[in-house]
Amino acid sequence: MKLLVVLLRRHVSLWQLVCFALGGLLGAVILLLSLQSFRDVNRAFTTEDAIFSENYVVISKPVSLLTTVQSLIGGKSPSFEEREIQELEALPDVSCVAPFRSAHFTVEAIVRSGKRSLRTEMFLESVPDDFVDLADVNIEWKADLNDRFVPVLVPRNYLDLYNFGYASTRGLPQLSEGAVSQFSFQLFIGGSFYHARIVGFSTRLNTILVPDAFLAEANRIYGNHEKEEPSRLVIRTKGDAAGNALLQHIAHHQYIVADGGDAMVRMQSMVYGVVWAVAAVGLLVVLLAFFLLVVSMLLLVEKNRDIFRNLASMGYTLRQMSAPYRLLVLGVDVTVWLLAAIVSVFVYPLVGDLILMAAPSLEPTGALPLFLIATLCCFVFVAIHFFVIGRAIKKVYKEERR
Amino acid sequence: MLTTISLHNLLPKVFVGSRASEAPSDIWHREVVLQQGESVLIEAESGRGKTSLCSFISGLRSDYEGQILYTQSDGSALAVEQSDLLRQHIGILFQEHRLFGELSAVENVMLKSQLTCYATVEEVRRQLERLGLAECMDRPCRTLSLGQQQRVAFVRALCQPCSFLLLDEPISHLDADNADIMSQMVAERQRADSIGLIVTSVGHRFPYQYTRIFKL
Repeated sequence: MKLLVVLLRRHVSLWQLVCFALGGLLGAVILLLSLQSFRDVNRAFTTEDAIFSENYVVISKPVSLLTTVQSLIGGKSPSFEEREIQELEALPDVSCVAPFRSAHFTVEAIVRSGKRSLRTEMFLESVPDDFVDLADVNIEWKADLNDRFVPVLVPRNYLDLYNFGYASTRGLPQLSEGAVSQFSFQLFIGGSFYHARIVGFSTRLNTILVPDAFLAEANRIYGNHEKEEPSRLVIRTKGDAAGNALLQHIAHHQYIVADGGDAMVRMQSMVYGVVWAVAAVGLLVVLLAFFLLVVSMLLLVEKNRDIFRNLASMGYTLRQMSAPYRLLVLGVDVTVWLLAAIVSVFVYPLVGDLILMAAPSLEPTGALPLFLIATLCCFVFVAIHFFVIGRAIKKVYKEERR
Repeated sequence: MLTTISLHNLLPKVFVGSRASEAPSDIWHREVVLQQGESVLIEAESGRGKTSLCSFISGLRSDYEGQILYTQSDGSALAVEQSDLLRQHIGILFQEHRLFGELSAVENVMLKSQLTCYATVEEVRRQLERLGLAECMDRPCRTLSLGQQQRVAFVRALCQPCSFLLLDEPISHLDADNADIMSQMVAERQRADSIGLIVTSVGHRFPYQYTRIFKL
């Protein structure tokens, strides 16, 4: 082997190899860091306490002059058909879709103060209980027609509108959430009075919510019994999805997204996009560096054609003749990926800490995944290089035996 | 161990349809069997295919018509495509030597010898010294004369176990004294291992006791 190495090291340029190795190292570090980032981004988006673990998007159909006229002449308001709901549920980044249930009967809210009372018509809606943000609600979210007490959730921005848009300009006192929760009022539904109280404020759903079971039963008894398709849907997205499918679907069908609820989805999509773009750049640099190494090896084989011819005539096998060059590329590949893994382990915490801020309960990823990915990549590149070198020498070997 | 090499109607493809194919020959278009242990001289003018014949027999080239069959001592046949195996049975001294200029004489021979661990460095040095190469055996071969290179290539051809030894114009650059020494070395090897000897010559015969002489 030593004599073979002496023979075949002709035309091998050490500086060229170093340059290839440095290029490969740079690309490998970028690739490893981006793959590890993707892994942590995914964990951050899916772990339970993560900011972005699940998102809720409320969509409706656009209301135009045409739809308004249609409604006036007795047509349907824009609503979602069963087929459209199924299409949404089939999207890869959608976890669940729930329709808003509306009250199909007249509802009046009554506030009494002594002998005086204020009445107003109002609307009620509901969604399945697991879609309601009940984290700050201290009372059980449950009611039926026998209870005579109905908990109500209102949007947080209603309180903000009152406090900052009305009370402050009228010299009225601003109210805290606690203060509002103390007010009780009555709901007049189907000839019966129900006590009600605002038990919480929702940041997720911009509507006046009551428990779904209560509204379903009330519709059954007091409603007009017409099957109506929902005009709004609430969609729970999967935390680990890029969100592209849902966003594209919404854009394609021109659905309206309430309150920029898709912002989080878009942000997730953008984060995944950036990570994959960086990974693609890293992969490109790695492929380029290792491609140039392959080309260099092929040129070496070509330049040493006479040597291989003579070695073959002496009885050297393909494997024996390939061994020195294969050892050379093995050394380059292993060195590059090992160094890349080590560098990535030291550099990654700078990036990883930022990602993990989104999910404080997550533990930082250890070094093992980086080394595993680097090992796998090393195996792949070594296999490719071995194959290419063997094939090049075999071609010379076969041409010798014409 | 190869016991016979049979040539069946052999003819280089470049001779097909040419006047060369019509010239009388003891090898081309003939049935010839070369036996292990015998010594064969193949004489011909330049351009009659001596080197080609050596390349065909050693499996280095396949541009011929006809067939070459190799029979092993157990009666089984060795295919010509198994050229790696063939070269384990056939030692060859090329007309163009095919030495590696950047390696020394000793290194050139050891490069071959280490394939089969046939000879130690000391044995190789003794062989080279016998052929008058004591003072230049550690110099790169590109600094040696053609005659010196030919002697190195000869020692290299001997440094493997083989059933047949092919010498393609082995003394084209040598004087009579060196030719005699080479002849003695071949005879010693043939006595020891009963190898078959095939020598080509364009006129300057390698001095040896041949059992058969062929005109190509």
